[in-house]
Amino acid sequence: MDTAAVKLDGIAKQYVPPWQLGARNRQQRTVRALEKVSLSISRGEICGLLGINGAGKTTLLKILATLILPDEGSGAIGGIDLIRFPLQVKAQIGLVTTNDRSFYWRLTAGENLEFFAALHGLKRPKKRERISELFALIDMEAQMHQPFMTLSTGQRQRLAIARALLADPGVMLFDEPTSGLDPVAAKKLRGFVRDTLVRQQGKTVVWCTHNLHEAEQVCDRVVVLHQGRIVADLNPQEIRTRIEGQGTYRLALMPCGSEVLATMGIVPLTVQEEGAQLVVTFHAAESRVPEIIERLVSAGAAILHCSRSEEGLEELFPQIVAAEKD
Amino acid sequence: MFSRALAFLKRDLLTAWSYRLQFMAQSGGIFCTTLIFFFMGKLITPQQSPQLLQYGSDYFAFSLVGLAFADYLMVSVNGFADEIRRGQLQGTLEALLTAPVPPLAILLYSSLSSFLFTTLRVLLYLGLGIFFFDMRWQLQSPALFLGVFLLTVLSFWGLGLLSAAFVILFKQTSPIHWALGPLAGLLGGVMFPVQLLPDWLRWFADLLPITWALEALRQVLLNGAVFSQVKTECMALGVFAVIFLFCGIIAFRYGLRHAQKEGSLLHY
Repeated sequence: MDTAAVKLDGIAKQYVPPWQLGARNRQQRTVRALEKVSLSISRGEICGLLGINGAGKTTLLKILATLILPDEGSGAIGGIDLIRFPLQVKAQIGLVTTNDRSFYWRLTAGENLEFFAALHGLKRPKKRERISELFALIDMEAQMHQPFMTLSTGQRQRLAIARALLADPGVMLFDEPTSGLDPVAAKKLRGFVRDTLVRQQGKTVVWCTHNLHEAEQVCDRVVVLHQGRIVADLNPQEIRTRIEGQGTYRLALMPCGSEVLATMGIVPLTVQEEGAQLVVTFHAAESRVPEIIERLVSAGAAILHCSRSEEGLEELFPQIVAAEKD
Repeated sequence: MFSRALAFLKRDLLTAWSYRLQFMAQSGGIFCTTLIFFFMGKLITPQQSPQLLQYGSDYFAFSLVGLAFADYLMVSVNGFADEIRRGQLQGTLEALLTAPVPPLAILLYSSLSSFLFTTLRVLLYLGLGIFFFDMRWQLQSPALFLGVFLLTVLSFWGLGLLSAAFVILFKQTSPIHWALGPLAGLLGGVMFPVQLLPDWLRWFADLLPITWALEALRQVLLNGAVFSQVKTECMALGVFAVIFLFCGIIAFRYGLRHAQKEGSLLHY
Protein backbone atom coordinates (compact mmCIF):
# COMPACT_ATOMS: atom_id res chain seq x y z
CA MET A 1 0.00 0.00 0.00
CA ASP A 2 1.21 3.50 -0.90
CA THR A 3 1.88 5.44 2.31
CA ALA A 4 2.54 8.76 0.58
CA ALA A 5 0.29 11.58 1.78
CA VAL A 6 1.19 13.67 -1.24
CA LYS A 7 2.35 12.30 -4.55
CA LEU A 8 3.15 14.23 -7.70
CA ASP A 9 4.33 12.67 -10.91
CA GLY A 10 5.76 14.72 -13.79
CA ILE A 11 3.74 17.86 -13.06
CA ALA A 12 4.30 20.59 -15.65
CA LYS A 13 2.68 23.98 -15.86
CA GLN A 14 3.19 26.92 -18.12
CA TYR A 15 1.10 30.05 -18.26
CA VAL A 16 0.87 33.47 -19.82
CA PRO A 17 1.43 36.18 -17.22
CA PRO A 18 -1.19 38.97 -17.34
CA TRP A 19 1.42 41.53 -18.53
CA GLN A 20 2.30 39.31 -21.50
CA LEU A 21 -1.24 38.81 -22.80
CA GLY A 22 -0.65 41.37 -25.57
CA ALA A 23 2.51 39.68 -26.91
CA ARG A 24 2.05 37.96 -30.27
CA ASN A 25 4.49 35.11 -30.05
CA ARG A 26 3.00 32.36 -27.85
CA GLN A 27 6.49 31.03 -27.07
CA GLN A 28 7.62 34.44 -25.82
CA ARG A 29 4.45 34.98 -23.83
CA THR A 30 4.61 31.70 -21.98
CA VAL A 31 6.36 31.25 -18.66
CA ARG A 32 7.32 27.77 -17.55
CA ALA A 33 6.23 27.69 -13.93
CA LEU A 34 6.88 23.99 -13.34
CA GLU A 35 8.75 21.39 -15.34
CA LYS A 36 8.30 17.67 -14.71
CA VAL A 37 8.04 17.95 -10.96
CA SER A 38 7.80 14.58 -9.22
CA LEU A 39 7.57 14.40 -5.48
CA SER A 40 6.41 12.05 -2.77
CA ILE A 41 5.75 13.20 0.79
CA SER A 42 5.19 10.66 3.55
CA ARG A 43 2.48 10.91 6.17
CA GLY A 44 3.55 12.94 9.20
CA GLU A 45 6.40 14.60 7.33
CA ILE A 46 7.09 18.34 7.12
CA CYS A 47 8.30 18.99 3.63
CA GLY A 48 9.67 22.42 2.83
CA LEU A 49 9.36 23.88 -0.65
CA LEU A 50 12.28 26.26 -0.84
CA GLY A 51 12.94 28.71 -3.62
CA ILE A 52 13.34 32.34 -4.51
CA ASN A 53 10.39 34.35 -5.84
CA GLY A 54 9.16 32.90 -9.12
CA ALA A 55 10.65 29.46 -8.47
CA GLY A 56 7.23 27.82 -8.80
CA LYS A 57 6.45 27.16 -5.12
CA THR A 58 3.06 28.87 -5.04
CA THR A 59 2.02 27.35 -8.36
CA LEU A 60 2.84 23.92 -6.98
CA LEU A 61 0.90 24.64 -3.79
CA LYS A 62 -2.11 25.85 -5.77
CA ILE A 63 -2.03 22.70 -7.88
CA LEU A 64 -2.10 20.71 -4.64
CA ALA A 65 -5.05 22.84 -3.50
CA THR A 66 -6.80 22.12 -6.84
CA LEU A 67 -6.99 25.84 -7.65
CA ILE A 68 -4.78 25.41 -10.73
CA LEU A 69 -4.89 22.53 -13.20
CA PRO A 70 -1.51 21.19 -14.35
CA ASP A 71 -0.77 20.94 -18.10
CA GLU A 72 0.89 17.54 -17.70
CA GLY A 73 1.42 14.93 -15.05
CA SER A 74 -0.69 13.53 -12.27
CA GLY A 75 -0.97 13.87 -8.54
CA ALA A 76 -2.80 12.55 -5.52
CA ILE A 77 -3.45 13.59 -1.94
CA GLY A 78 -4.11 10.72 0.43
CA GLY A 79 -4.40 8.49 -2.64
CA ILE A 80 -7.16 10.64 -4.22
CA ASP A 81 -6.56 11.94 -7.73
CA LEU A 82 -6.08 15.72 -7.74
CA ILE A 83 -7.46 16.30 -11.21
CA ARG A 84 -10.37 13.88 -11.28
CA PHE A 85 -11.71 14.33 -7.75
CA PRO A 86 -11.03 17.92 -6.68
CA LEU A 87 -13.87 18.07 -4.15
CA GLN A 88 -12.68 14.95 -2.32
CA VAL A 89 -9.12 16.32 -2.35
CA LYS A 90 -10.33 19.62 -0.88
CA ALA A 91 -11.76 17.67 2.06
CA GLN A 92 -8.26 16.27 2.72
CA ILE A 93 -6.34 19.55 2.71
CA GLY A 94 -6.10 22.77 4.67
CA LEU A 95 -4.57 25.77 2.91
CA VAL A 96 -2.96 28.55 4.94
CA THR A 97 -1.94 31.69 3.11
CA THR A 98 -0.83 35.11 4.30
CA ASN A 99 -3.79 36.80 2.63
CA ASP A 100 -5.76 38.29 5.51
CA ARG A 101 -8.33 39.59 3.01
CA SER A 102 -9.56 36.01 2.70
CA PHE A 103 -11.64 36.62 5.84
CA TYR A 104 -14.74 38.74 6.31
CA TRP A 105 -13.49 41.78 8.13
CA ARG A 106 -16.79 42.95 9.57
CA LEU A 107 -17.58 39.57 11.14
CA THR A 108 -16.03 38.38 14.38
CA ALA A 109 -13.30 35.74 14.47
CA GLY A 110 -15.89 33.21 15.68
CA GLU A 111 -18.45 34.12 13.00
CA ASN A 112 -15.77 33.72 10.34
CA LEU A 113 -14.89 30.24 11.56
CA GLU A 114 -18.57 29.31 11.85
CA PHE A 115 -19.12 30.26 8.22
CA PHE A 116 -16.16 28.25 6.95
CA ALA A 117 -17.08 25.33 9.23
CA ALA A 118 -20.50 25.16 7.55
CA LEU A 119 -18.78 25.16 4.17
CA HIS A 120 -16.80 22.15 5.30
CA GLY A 121 -20.03 20.39 6.21
CA LEU A 122 -19.75 20.65 10.00
CA LYS A 123 -23.09 20.78 11.77
CA ARG A 124 -24.18 21.71 15.27
CA PRO A 125 -23.31 20.71 17.97
CA LYS A 126 -20.06 19.35 16.51
CA LYS A 127 -19.43 22.64 14.75
CA ARG A 128 -19.52 24.63 18.00
CA GLU A 129 -17.31 22.07 19.76
CA ARG A 130 -14.74 22.09 16.96
CA ILE A 131 -14.60 25.88 16.86
CA SER A 132 -14.12 26.15 20.64
CA GLU A 133 -11.46 23.44 20.45
CA LEU A 134 -9.61 25.31 17.70
CA PHE A 135 -9.77 28.67 19.49
CA ALA A 136 -8.22 26.94 22.51
CA LEU A 137 -5.59 25.31 20.29
CA ILE A 138 -4.49 28.61 18.76
CA ASP A 139 -4.75 30.30 22.16
CA MET A 140 -7.27 32.90 21.01
CA GLU A 141 -10.33 32.14 23.15
CA ALA A 142 -10.41 35.75 24.33
CA GLN A 143 -10.58 37.03 20.75
CA MET A 144 -13.43 34.77 19.60
CA HIS A 145 -16.03 37.56 19.68
CA GLN A 146 -13.72 40.27 18.44
CA PRO A 147 -14.27 41.63 14.89
CA PHE A 148 -11.68 40.22 12.50
CA MET A 149 -10.51 43.69 11.52
CA THR A 150 -9.33 44.37 15.08
CA LEU A 151 -7.03 41.32 15.25
CA SER A 152 -3.24 41.63 14.99
CA THR A 153 -1.31 40.13 12.06
CA GLY A 154 -0.19 37.22 14.20
CA GLN A 155 -3.72 36.53 15.42
CA ARG A 156 -5.05 36.64 11.84
CA GLN A 157 -2.41 34.13 10.82
CA ARG A 158 -3.36 31.83 13.70
CA LEU A 159 -7.01 32.16 12.73
CA ALA A 160 -6.07 31.17 9.17
CA ILE A 161 -4.51 28.01 10.61
CA ALA A 162 -7.63 27.32 12.67
CA ARG A 163 -9.74 27.70 9.54
CA ALA A 164 -7.56 25.25 7.65
CA LEU A 165 -7.91 22.79 10.55
CA LEU A 166 -11.73 22.95 10.74
CA ALA A 167 -12.34 19.68 8.91
CA ASP A 168 -9.30 18.06 10.54
CA PRO A 169 -7.50 17.51 7.20
CA GLY A 170 -4.57 15.14 6.89
CA VAL A 171 -2.45 17.50 4.79
CA MET A 172 -1.74 21.14 5.62
CA LEU A 173 -0.42 23.49 2.94
CA PHE A 174 1.37 26.61 4.19
CA ASP A 175 2.29 29.40 1.78
CA GLU A 176 5.03 31.55 3.36
CA PRO A 177 3.13 31.58 6.66
CA THR A 178 5.65 33.62 8.64
CA SER A 179 5.99 36.52 6.23
CA GLY A 180 4.67 39.61 7.97
CA LEU A 181 5.11 38.10 11.42
CA ASP A 182 7.61 39.41 13.96
CA PRO A 183 10.45 36.98 14.91
CA VAL A 184 8.77 35.94 18.18
CA ALA A 185 5.41 35.20 16.53
CA ALA A 186 7.16 33.41 13.66
CA LYS A 187 9.09 31.18 16.08
CA LYS A 188 5.90 30.42 18.01
CA LEU A 189 4.12 29.49 14.79
CA ARG A 190 6.93 27.20 13.68
CA GLY A 191 6.89 25.50 17.07
CA PHE A 192 3.11 25.08 16.94
CA VAL A 193 3.19 23.49 13.51
CA ARG A 194 6.08 21.18 14.34
CA ASP A 195 5.08 20.12 17.85
CA THR A 196 1.29 20.26 17.82
CA LEU A 197 0.18 19.67 14.25
CA VAL A 198 2.82 17.20 13.18
CA ARG A 199 4.22 15.49 16.26
CA GLN A 200 0.94 15.34 18.25
CA GLN A 201 -1.72 15.21 15.54
CA GLY A 202 0.30 13.40 12.88
CA LYS A 203 -0.50 15.81 10.05
CA THR A 204 1.53 16.09 6.88
CA VAL A 205 2.78 19.60 6.18
CA VAL A 206 3.94 21.25 2.97
CA TRP A 207 5.69 24.47 3.95
CA CYS A 208 6.54 26.99 1.23
CA THR A 209 9.28 29.44 2.10
CA HIS A 210 12.14 31.43 0.65
CA ASN A 211 13.89 31.49 4.01
CA LEU A 212 16.65 28.92 4.24
CA HIS A 213 17.07 29.17 8.00
CA GLU A 214 13.33 28.72 8.53
CA ALA A 215 13.31 25.67 6.28
CA GLU A 216 16.19 24.20 8.23
CA GLN A 217 14.44 24.81 11.56
CA VAL A 218 10.96 23.56 10.76
CA CYS A 219 11.23 20.94 8.02
CA ASP A 220 12.13 17.26 8.06
CA ARG A 221 13.06 17.56 4.44
CA VAL A 222 13.57 20.43 2.04
CA VAL A 223 12.84 20.31 -1.66
CA VAL A 224 14.60 23.14 -3.48
CA LEU A 225 12.78 24.55 -6.49
CA HIS A 226 14.55 26.70 -9.04
CA GLN A 227 13.01 27.93 -12.28
CA GLY A 228 10.23 25.40 -11.96
CA ARG A 229 12.47 22.41 -11.40
CA ILE A 230 13.45 20.44 -8.33
CA VAL A 231 17.18 21.05 -8.02
CA ALA A 232 17.75 19.44 -4.63
CA ASP A 233 16.06 17.29 -2.04
CA LEU A 234 17.87 17.73 1.26
CA ASN A 235 17.52 16.89 4.93
CA PRO A 236 18.04 19.63 7.57
CA GLN A 237 21.53 18.31 8.38
CA GLU A 238 22.64 18.78 4.79
CA ILE A 239 21.27 22.33 4.75
CA ARG A 240 22.99 23.10 8.05
CA THR A 241 26.28 21.85 6.64
CA ARG A 242 25.86 24.10 3.64
CA ILE A 243 24.90 27.11 5.72
CA GLU A 244 27.70 26.58 8.21
CA GLY A 245 30.42 25.19 5.96
CA GLN A 246 30.84 28.16 3.64
CA GLY A 247 30.18 31.78 4.21
CA THR A 248 30.54 35.26 2.82
CA TYR A 249 32.76 37.52 4.95
CA ARG A 250 33.16 41.26 5.08
CA LEU A 251 36.55 42.62 6.01
CA ALA A 252 37.20 46.30 6.75
CA LEU A 253 40.85 47.37 6.74
CA MET A 254 42.99 50.47 6.37
CA PRO A 255 43.75 51.22 2.73
CA CYS A 256 46.60 49.04 1.42
CA GLY A 257 48.14 47.98 -1.88
CA SER A 258 46.93 45.14 -4.08
CA GLU A 259 50.09 43.15 -3.21
CA VAL A 260 48.81 42.94 0.38
CA LEU A 261 45.41 41.65 -0.74
CA ALA A 262 47.14 39.12 -3.00
CA THR A 263 48.50 37.39 0.13
CA MET A 264 44.91 36.30 1.02
CA GLY A 265 45.32 33.36 -1.33
CA ILE A 266 41.73 33.70 -2.67
CA VAL A 267 40.01 35.95 -5.14
CA PRO A 268 37.83 38.53 -3.29
CA LEU A 269 34.21 38.96 -4.39
CA THR A 270 34.37 42.77 -4.10
CA VAL A 271 36.97 45.36 -3.14
CA GLN A 272 35.83 48.92 -2.60
CA GLU A 273 36.74 52.04 -0.71
CA GLU A 274 34.19 53.20 1.84
CA GLY A 275 35.34 56.52 3.32
CA ALA A 276 38.72 55.98 4.96
CA GLN A 277 38.34 52.18 4.85
CA LEU A 278 38.90 49.49 2.29
CA VAL A 279 36.09 46.92 2.35
CA VAL A 280 36.74 43.46 0.98
CA THR A 281 34.16 40.70 0.72
CA PHE A 282 35.15 37.12 0.08
CA HIS A 283 33.68 33.67 0.11
CA ALA A 284 35.47 30.94 2.06
CA ALA A 285 35.09 27.98 4.38
CA GLU A 286 34.75 29.03 8.02
CA SER A 287 37.92 27.10 8.93
CA ARG A 288 40.04 29.10 6.50
CA VAL A 289 39.13 32.59 7.80
CA PRO A 290 41.76 32.77 10.66
CA GLU A 291 44.48 31.76 8.21
CA ILE A 292 43.42 34.47 5.71
CA ILE A 293 43.43 37.13 8.43
CA GLU A 294 46.84 35.96 9.67
CA ARG A 295 48.30 36.28 6.17
CA LEU A 296 46.93 39.78 5.75
CA VAL A 297 48.30 40.88 9.14
CA SER A 298 51.72 39.38 8.29
CA ALA A 299 51.73 41.38 5.05
CA GLY A 300 51.19 44.56 7.06
CA ALA A 301 47.43 45.09 6.73
CA ALA A 302 45.63 46.91 9.55
CA ILE A 303 42.34 45.04 10.01
CA LEU A 304 39.53 47.06 11.58
CA HIS A 305 36.63 44.64 11.48
CA CYS A 306 35.64 41.21 10.18
CA SER A 307 32.09 39.84 10.07
CA ARG A 308 30.18 37.08 8.44
CA SER A 309 27.20 38.17 6.35
CA GLU A 310 23.93 36.21 6.39
CA GLU A 311 23.92 34.08 3.32
CA GLY A 312 20.77 34.39 1.26
CA LEU A 313 19.19 31.72 -0.82
CA GLU A 314 20.49 33.40 -3.97
CA GLU A 315 24.10 32.89 -2.84
CA LEU A 316 23.50 29.30 -1.83
CA PHE A 317 21.69 28.25 -4.98
CA PRO A 318 24.82 27.87 -7.14
CA GLN A 319 26.32 25.65 -4.43
CA ILE A 320 23.21 23.54 -4.04
CA VAL A 321 22.80 23.09 -7.77
CA ALA A 322 26.51 22.31 -8.23
CA ALA A 323 26.50 19.82 -5.34
CA GLU A 324 23.48 18.02 -6.80
CA LYS A 325 25.20 17.78 -10.21
CA ASP A 326 28.30 16.25 -8.58
CA MET B 1 -26.90 21.67 1.62
CA PHE B 2 -29.43 23.54 3.76
CA SER B 3 -26.90 24.38 6.47
CA ARG B 4 -24.46 25.70 3.87
CA ALA B 5 -27.14 27.89 2.32
CA LEU B 6 -28.01 29.15 5.78
CA ALA B 7 -24.36 29.91 6.51
CA PHE B 8 -24.12 32.12 3.42
CA LEU B 9 -27.34 33.88 4.38
CA LYS B 10 -26.10 34.47 7.90
CA ARG B 11 -22.75 35.79 6.61
CA ASP B 12 -24.48 38.32 4.36
CA LEU B 13 -27.09 39.34 6.91
CA LEU B 14 -24.41 39.97 9.54
CA THR B 15 -22.38 41.98 7.03
CA ALA B 16 -25.47 43.97 5.97
CA TRP B 17 -26.35 44.57 9.61
CA SER B 18 -22.94 46.17 10.10
CA TYR B 19 -23.99 48.73 7.46
CA ARG B 20 -27.32 49.65 9.12
CA LEU B 21 -27.42 53.19 7.75
CA GLN B 22 -27.25 51.92 4.16
CA PHE B 23 -30.15 49.56 4.87
CA MET B 24 -32.28 52.41 6.23
CA ALA B 25 -31.37 54.67 3.32
CA GLN B 26 -32.46 51.96 0.86
CA SER B 27 -35.84 51.59 2.59
CA GLY B 28 -36.31 55.36 2.43
CA GLY B 29 -35.41 55.27 -1.28
CA ILE B 30 -38.07 52.62 -1.95
CA PHE B 31 -40.68 54.75 -0.18
CA CYS B 32 -39.76 57.79 -2.31
CA THR B 33 -39.81 55.78 -5.57
CA THR B 34 -43.24 54.38 -4.70
CA LEU B 35 -44.47 57.88 -4.00
CA ILE B 36 -43.12 59.14 -7.34
CA PHE B 37 -44.97 56.43 -9.25
CA PHE B 38 -48.10 57.02 -7.20
CA PHE B 39 -48.23 60.61 -8.41
CA MET B 40 -47.27 59.62 -11.96
CA GLY B 41 -50.17 57.18 -11.85
CA LYS B 42 -52.49 60.10 -11.10
CA LEU B 43 -51.16 61.80 -14.21
CA ILE B 44 -51.39 58.87 -16.61
CA THR B 45 -54.96 57.65 -17.07
CA PRO B 46 -56.47 54.89 -19.29
CA GLN B 47 -58.19 57.63 -21.28
CA GLN B 48 -54.78 58.95 -22.27
CA SER B 49 -53.20 55.50 -22.66
CA PRO B 50 -55.74 52.87 -23.71
CA GLN B 51 -52.97 50.23 -23.59
CA LEU B 52 -53.34 50.33 -19.80
CA LEU B 53 -56.86 48.89 -20.02
CA GLN B 54 -55.51 45.35 -20.39
CA TYR B 55 -53.52 45.74 -17.14
CA GLY B 56 -56.33 46.85 -14.83
CA SER B 57 -56.31 50.50 -15.98
CA ASP B 58 -53.94 51.63 -13.23
CA TYR B 59 -50.53 53.01 -14.26
CA PHE B 60 -49.34 53.03 -10.63
CA ALA B 61 -49.93 49.28 -10.29
CA PHE B 62 -48.50 48.67 -13.78
CA SER B 63 -45.24 50.50 -13.10
CA LEU B 64 -44.85 49.18 -9.55
CA VAL B 65 -45.03 45.55 -10.74
CA GLY B 66 -42.57 46.39 -13.55
CA LEU B 67 -40.17 48.09 -11.18
CA ALA B 68 -40.38 45.41 -8.50
CA PHE B 69 -39.78 42.44 -10.80
CA ALA B 70 -37.15 44.17 -12.93
CA ASP B 71 -35.22 44.19 -9.66
CA TYR B 72 -35.15 40.38 -9.83
CA LEU B 73 -33.73 40.54 -13.33
CA MET B 74 -30.93 42.84 -12.24
CA VAL B 75 -30.11 40.88 -9.09
CA SER B 76 -30.09 37.58 -11.03
CA VAL B 77 -27.93 38.87 -13.84
CA ASN B 78 -25.55 40.83 -11.61
CA GLY B 79 -25.66 38.79 -8.40
CA PHE B 80 -23.47 35.86 -9.52
CA ALA B 81 -21.00 38.05 -11.38
CA ASP B 82 -20.83 40.55 -8.52
CA GLU B 83 -20.12 37.78 -6.02
CA ILE B 84 -17.19 36.52 -8.10
CA ARG B 85 -15.86 40.01 -8.73
CA ARG B 86 -16.16 40.87 -5.02
CA GLY B 87 -14.39 37.62 -4.10
CA GLN B 88 -11.61 38.33 -6.60
CA LEU B 89 -11.13 41.90 -5.39
CA GLN B 90 -11.50 41.22 -1.65
CA GLY B 91 -9.51 38.00 -1.70
CA THR B 92 -12.20 35.74 -0.25
CA LEU B 93 -12.62 33.71 -3.44
CA GLU B 94 -9.56 31.55 -2.74
CA ALA B 95 -10.88 30.55 0.69
CA LEU B 96 -14.30 29.76 -0.77
CA LEU B 97 -12.89 27.68 -3.61
CA THR B 98 -10.69 25.59 -1.34
CA ALA B 99 -13.78 24.40 0.54
CA PRO B 100 -15.23 21.06 -0.61
CA VAL B 101 -18.28 22.66 -2.24
CA PRO B 102 -18.94 22.75 -6.02
CA PRO B 103 -18.28 26.26 -7.38
CA LEU B 104 -21.76 26.45 -8.90
CA ALA B 105 -23.29 25.76 -5.49
CA ILE B 106 -21.09 28.48 -3.93
CA LEU B 107 -22.44 30.89 -6.51
CA LEU B 108 -26.05 29.95 -5.81
CA TYR B 109 -25.65 30.14 -2.03
CA SER B 110 -23.86 33.48 -2.35
CA SER B 111 -26.74 35.02 -4.25
CA LEU B 112 -29.40 33.89 -1.77
CA SER B 113 -29.13 37.01 0.34
CA SER B 114 -29.48 39.25 -2.73
CA PHE B 115 -32.67 37.37 -3.58
CA LEU B 116 -33.89 37.70 -0.05
CA PHE B 117 -33.22 41.44 -0.01
CA THR B 118 -34.84 41.81 -3.43
CA THR B 119 -37.90 39.90 -2.22
CA LEU B 120 -38.08 42.22 0.79
CA ARG B 121 -37.81 45.21 -1.55
CA VAL B 122 -40.55 43.80 -3.82
CA LEU B 123 -42.80 43.14 -0.82
CA LEU B 124 -42.10 46.65 0.41
CA TYR B 125 -42.98 48.12 -3.00
CA LEU B 126 -46.18 46.12 -3.28
CA GLY B 127 -47.03 46.49 0.41
CA LEU B 128 -46.68 50.26 0.30
CA GLY B 129 -48.68 50.33 -2.93
CA ILE B 130 -51.51 48.15 -1.61
CA PHE B 131 -51.80 49.43 1.95
CA PHE B 132 -50.93 53.10 1.62
CA PHE B 133 -51.59 54.11 -1.97
CA ASP B 134 -54.65 52.07 -2.86
CA MET B 135 -53.00 49.98 -5.56
CA ARG B 136 -55.58 47.77 -7.27
CA TRP B 137 -54.67 44.10 -7.58
CA GLN B 138 -56.49 40.85 -8.20
CA LEU B 139 -54.66 37.58 -7.57
CA GLN B 140 -56.77 34.48 -8.32
CA SER B 141 -54.14 31.78 -8.29
CA PRO B 142 -51.14 32.13 -5.96
CA ALA B 143 -49.81 28.79 -7.30
CA LEU B 144 -49.79 30.13 -10.85
CA PHE B 145 -48.05 33.28 -9.64
CA LEU B 146 -45.35 31.16 -7.97
CA GLY B 147 -44.98 29.05 -11.13
CA VAL B 148 -44.55 32.11 -13.34
CA PHE B 149 -42.18 33.63 -10.81
CA LEU B 150 -40.06 30.45 -10.74
CA LEU B 151 -39.81 30.30 -14.53
CA THR B 152 -38.90 33.99 -14.55
CA VAL B 153 -36.11 33.55 -12.00
CA LEU B 154 -34.72 30.44 -13.74
CA SER B 155 -34.46 32.22 -17.08
CA PHE B 156 -32.82 35.21 -15.38
CA TRP B 157 -30.36 32.89 -13.58
CA GLY B 158 -29.19 31.53 -16.95
CA LEU B 159 -28.25 35.06 -17.96
CA GLY B 160 -26.57 35.52 -14.57
CA LEU B 161 -24.39 32.45 -15.14
CA LEU B 162 -23.36 33.74 -18.57
CA SER B 163 -22.41 37.03 -16.93
CA ALA B 164 -20.44 35.20 -14.21
CA ALA B 165 -18.55 33.20 -16.85
CA PHE B 166 -17.56 36.47 -18.51
CA VAL B 167 -16.19 37.86 -15.23
CA ILE B 168 -14.15 34.68 -14.61
CA LEU B 169 -12.69 34.77 -18.12
CA PHE B 170 -12.09 38.48 -18.63
CA LYS B 171 -11.86 39.87 -15.06
CA GLN B 172 -14.17 42.74 -15.83
CA THR B 173 -17.84 43.59 -15.64
CA SER B 174 -19.80 41.63 -18.19
CA PRO B 175 -21.49 43.48 -21.10
CA ILE B 176 -24.70 41.66 -20.10
CA HIS B 177 -24.48 43.62 -16.85
CA TRP B 178 -24.58 47.07 -18.45
CA ALA B 179 -26.61 46.20 -21.54
CA LEU B 180 -29.51 44.38 -19.94
CA GLY B 181 -30.68 47.17 -17.61
CA PRO B 182 -31.30 49.75 -20.35
CA LEU B 183 -32.58 47.06 -22.74
CA ALA B 184 -35.09 45.83 -20.18
CA GLY B 185 -36.16 49.41 -19.49
CA LEU B 186 -36.60 50.19 -23.15
CA LEU B 187 -37.94 46.93 -24.55
CA GLY B 188 -39.05 44.82 -21.61
CA GLY B 189 -42.15 46.78 -20.65
CA VAL B 190 -40.92 47.85 -17.23
CA MET B 191 -42.30 51.39 -17.36
CA PHE B 192 -44.67 51.31 -20.30
CA PRO B 193 -46.59 48.61 -22.17
CA VAL B 194 -44.62 47.03 -25.03
CA GLN B 195 -47.68 47.60 -27.23
CA LEU B 196 -46.47 51.18 -27.54
CA LEU B 197 -43.32 50.04 -29.36
CA PRO B 198 -43.17 49.99 -33.16
CA ASP B 199 -43.48 46.49 -34.68
CA TRP B 200 -39.80 46.14 -35.55
CA LEU B 201 -38.79 46.92 -31.94
CA ARG B 202 -41.40 44.58 -30.53
CA TRP B 203 -39.67 41.79 -32.38
CA PHE B 204 -36.51 42.52 -30.32
CA ALA B 205 -38.61 42.89 -27.16
CA ASP B 206 -39.88 39.33 -27.66
CA LEU B 207 -36.30 38.07 -27.46
CA LEU B 208 -36.02 39.21 -23.85
CA PRO B 209 -37.38 36.94 -21.08
CA ILE B 210 -38.38 39.97 -19.00
CA THR B 211 -40.97 40.99 -21.62
CA TRP B 212 -42.77 37.67 -21.21
CA ALA B 213 -42.23 37.57 -17.47
CA LEU B 214 -43.73 41.01 -16.83
CA GLU B 215 -46.65 40.35 -19.14
CA ALA B 216 -47.49 37.11 -17.31
CA LEU B 217 -46.90 38.53 -13.82
CA ARG B 218 -49.08 41.58 -14.51
CA GLN B 219 -51.87 39.46 -15.94
CA VAL B 220 -51.77 37.13 -12.92
CA LEU B 221 -51.36 39.85 -10.28
CA LEU B 222 -53.47 42.68 -11.68
CA ASN B 223 -56.10 40.92 -13.81
CA GLY B 224 -56.51 37.67 -11.91
CA ALA B 225 -55.53 35.64 -15.01
CA VAL B 226 -55.63 31.82 -14.91
CA PHE B 227 -53.17 29.46 -16.60
CA SER B 228 -54.98 29.27 -19.95
CA GLN B 229 -54.68 33.06 -20.26
CA VAL B 230 -50.89 33.13 -19.73
CA LYS B 231 -50.03 29.78 -21.33
CA THR B 232 -48.01 31.34 -24.17
CA GLU B 233 -45.97 33.48 -21.77
CA CYS B 234 -45.28 30.46 -19.53
CA MET B 235 -44.13 28.39 -22.49
CA ALA B 236 -41.86 31.19 -23.72
CA LEU B 237 -40.38 31.56 -20.23
CA GLY B 238 -39.87 27.78 -20.05
CA VAL B 239 -37.95 27.80 -23.33
CA PHE B 240 -35.84 30.78 -22.18
CA ALA B 241 -35.13 29.04 -18.86
CA VAL B 242 -33.95 25.82 -20.54
CA ILE B 243 -31.81 27.58 -23.17
CA PHE B 244 -30.26 30.19 -20.88
CA LEU B 245 -29.64 27.78 -17.99
CA PHE B 246 -28.03 25.23 -20.31
CA CYS B 247 -25.81 27.86 -21.96
CA GLY B 248 -25.10 29.51 -18.61
CA ILE B 249 -23.97 26.29 -16.90
CA ILE B 250 -21.80 25.28 -19.88
CA ALA B 251 -20.24 28.75 -20.10
CA PHE B 252 -19.62 28.91 -16.34
CA ARG B 253 -17.97 25.48 -16.28
CA TYR B 254 -15.86 26.36 -19.32
CA GLY B 255 -14.83 29.68 -17.76
CA LEU B 256 -13.88 28.02 -14.50
CA ARG B 257 -11.82 25.28 -16.16
CA HIS B 258 -10.13 27.76 -18.48
CA ALA B 259 -9.19 30.01 -15.54
CA GLN B 260 -7.90 26.99 -13.59
CA LYS B 261 -5.75 26.02 -16.57
CA GLU B 262 -4.47 29.55 -17.09
CA GLY B 263 -3.91 29.91 -13.35
CA SER B 264 -5.94 33.11 -13.44
CA LEU B 265 -8.88 32.09 -11.26
CA LEU B 266 -7.91 34.46 -8.47
CA HIS B 267 -6.56 37.28 -10.63
CA TYR B 268 -8.42 40.54 -10.77
